[in-house]
Amino acid sequence: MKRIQQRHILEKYGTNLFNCVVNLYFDYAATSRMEDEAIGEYVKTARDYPGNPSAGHALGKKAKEKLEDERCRISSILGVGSEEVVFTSGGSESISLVFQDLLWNVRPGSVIIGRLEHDAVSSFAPLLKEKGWRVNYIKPDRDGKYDTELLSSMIDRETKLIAIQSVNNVLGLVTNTKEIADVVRKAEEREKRNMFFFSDSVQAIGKVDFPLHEEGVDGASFSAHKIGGPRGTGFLYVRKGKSLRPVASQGGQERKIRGGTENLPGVSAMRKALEIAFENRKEKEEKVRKLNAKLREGLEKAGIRIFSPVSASPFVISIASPLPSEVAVRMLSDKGIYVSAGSACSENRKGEAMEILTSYGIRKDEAMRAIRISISEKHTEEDITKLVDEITKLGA
Amino acid sequence: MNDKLYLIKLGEISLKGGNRHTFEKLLRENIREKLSECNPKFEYQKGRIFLYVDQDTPDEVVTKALSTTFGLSGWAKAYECEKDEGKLFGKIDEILPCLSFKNEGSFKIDARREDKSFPLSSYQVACKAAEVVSKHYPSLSVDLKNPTYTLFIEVRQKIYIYTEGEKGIGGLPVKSAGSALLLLSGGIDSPVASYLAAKRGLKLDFLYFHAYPYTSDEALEKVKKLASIVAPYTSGARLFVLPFTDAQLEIKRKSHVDETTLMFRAAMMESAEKLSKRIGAKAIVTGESLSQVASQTLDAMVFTDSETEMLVLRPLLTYDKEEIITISKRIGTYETSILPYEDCCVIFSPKHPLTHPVKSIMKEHYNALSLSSEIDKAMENMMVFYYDEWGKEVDK
Repeated sequence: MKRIQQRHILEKYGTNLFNCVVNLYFDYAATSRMEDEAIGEYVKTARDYPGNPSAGHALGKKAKEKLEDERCRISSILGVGSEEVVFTSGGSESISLVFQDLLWNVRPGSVIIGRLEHDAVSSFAPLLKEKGWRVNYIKPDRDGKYDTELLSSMIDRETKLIAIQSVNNVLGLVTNTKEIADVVRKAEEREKRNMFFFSDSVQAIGKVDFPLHEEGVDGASFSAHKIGGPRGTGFLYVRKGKSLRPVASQGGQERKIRGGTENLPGVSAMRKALEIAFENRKEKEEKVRKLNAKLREGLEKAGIRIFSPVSASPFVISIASPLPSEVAVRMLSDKGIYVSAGSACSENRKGEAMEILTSYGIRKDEAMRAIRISISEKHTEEDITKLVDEITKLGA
Repeated sequence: MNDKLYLIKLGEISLKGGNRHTFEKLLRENIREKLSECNPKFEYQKGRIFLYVDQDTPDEVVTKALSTTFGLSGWAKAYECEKDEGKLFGKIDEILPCLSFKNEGSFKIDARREDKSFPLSSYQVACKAAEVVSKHYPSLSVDLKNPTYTLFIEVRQKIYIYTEGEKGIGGLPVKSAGSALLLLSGGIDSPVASYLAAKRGLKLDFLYFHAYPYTSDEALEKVKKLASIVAPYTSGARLFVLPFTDAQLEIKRKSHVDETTLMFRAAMMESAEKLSKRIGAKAIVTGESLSQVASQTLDAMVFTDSETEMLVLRPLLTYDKEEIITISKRIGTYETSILPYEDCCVIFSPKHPLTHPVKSIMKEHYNALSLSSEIDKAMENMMVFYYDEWGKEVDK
């Protein structure tokens, strides 16, 4: 069978085939191919810095110097202080470290969580509730903007954490992060105590304009593989003056926030990926914006419903395909076009995306047909045309 | 080195009359196939079979083979010795540490003397054997009514010593009732139906309807896994995978939405009949349970049965879901059956399927679909997977 043959080709040629079809990969919000230069940095650091940064001998010291040098370079790219960058294994762990801090509190308080958060954040809600915390949700408007007055009124004497992502992973909604940060600061003044405003920034850093200091967040998560870095590497930004208490500091590395031997080659590769991402970032974003507009135009012409508003991040766009999500993903995949399923083809298996889409106000039967397309500056207009053609054909 | 010995107790076979030997022969063949690498040899003695395998055969291998073979009510690891008083008690002394006895509870010796020429009576054998047991396990008391352990001693052509042993799964040897084709889906019911059909001696092959890309490759993998779990009970099996997408799309295009499920079922029956005739299966077996879902009402079955001349067997017809789940857990298919890969896409599942169809009208509607070309094409593109009697996928 033709399809089975194709699968065997994939298994046989792996990456080479990936190189051939890379332009029709539209799942950058899930992960991206590692940049060759980042791979080079990984290999170089792995080879040249074999010591454990915590070791007292010369090789350890050399590795420690390299680690701190990388931290400086990364923080300078991000425009933050080097002491504000905590290396982790990626987005989920960074988020985990922030929420673990709450578990230290002997007396549970309350948290405010955005209604459209990634599962890595929202899955903490049942755990916190079990521990006696009150979890309040806040929903954004169609453009992803949160009502600041409503938020201000929701912050009470017991609010310890406000967790609202900066760019939504399914719809690409761009949050009014700075305004939220202002609300939190005013609430701190009002309540005369500290709060923590955490922003899951995995879909923002390196893609859209998101200067951490100016946005005013207290914490932000980042994952290197979303922008051409290695998997299993990322960081947690913790604003100076704010601290986190992990459940266990283990080896005491990373300001005792994240124990364990540092992934030095991963950090080097992440730094390189960040350098590449931030080089001409505005131009790249502009290019993606144009591709996004072309995509929207093509889809609209074909009568395909677009869920993401025009104001969303140009890198992510969710649409209603003519077929159930999973089916559309498989049919496109067989044509060498890779997108993400917005939902599962089953009543019994509701994915996280389904929750986000229905919370956003999309009808269930439409959400069942959702697919997410994530664009990169590597795409061309021809790629977009091909994508639109193939999505349109699904309805035939 | 001597062979290892297992005593196999025959179940329903021992009630058979003149054709008992046919059943015994099939049972022996089924066991021989599973244990072919252990050099199995058989001896018969009044309602039981003595199975000899190579001494280095692990007990687990024999246990797995016998616990998945229909036609035996139980088995026990046994020891034999010559008909000599001294050798008998020496043997008991030697094997006691190998048995599951512990120095707590009670025991009983069940001695039988078929060969009356043996100098000791059954009672004397029991008393002397009890002395040996007491020597090893002084805390064990004798309890003839409800003993914790029972040691059986049978004086026949040789002397056989064994304990309670394991309970078999009963039924009749696979192949003794002829062959049938079972419609296997990825759900909970059909693998259980295959177990029950095989229990009554049916040799089964499986047919799965694959509607890629409307159902996923994971759904096919799930069915393959289920076939491999059930295959030891059916003494090996073939899994026929019929690409059913065109037929399903044609039905969806032409049928009234509420009738689609019934039309699928009728098309499945038509296909199953064609395949059965090709492979010489004498009946079609399904996992249907009366009124469990819309397509399993009496009226629905009256209609779907009318689309085939063949006998349709439904081993689960009168089973409740809970009963089916209990068996499913016991035979080890449950965990795989509940994996979230559906065997029918949501677009093919009507919201309000017809529950009480009128046969004559349905037949008219089904005939109007004239699916023979789609079904013939599917038969041409059919894939076959082979599973051996241990459930391992093999080339052929």
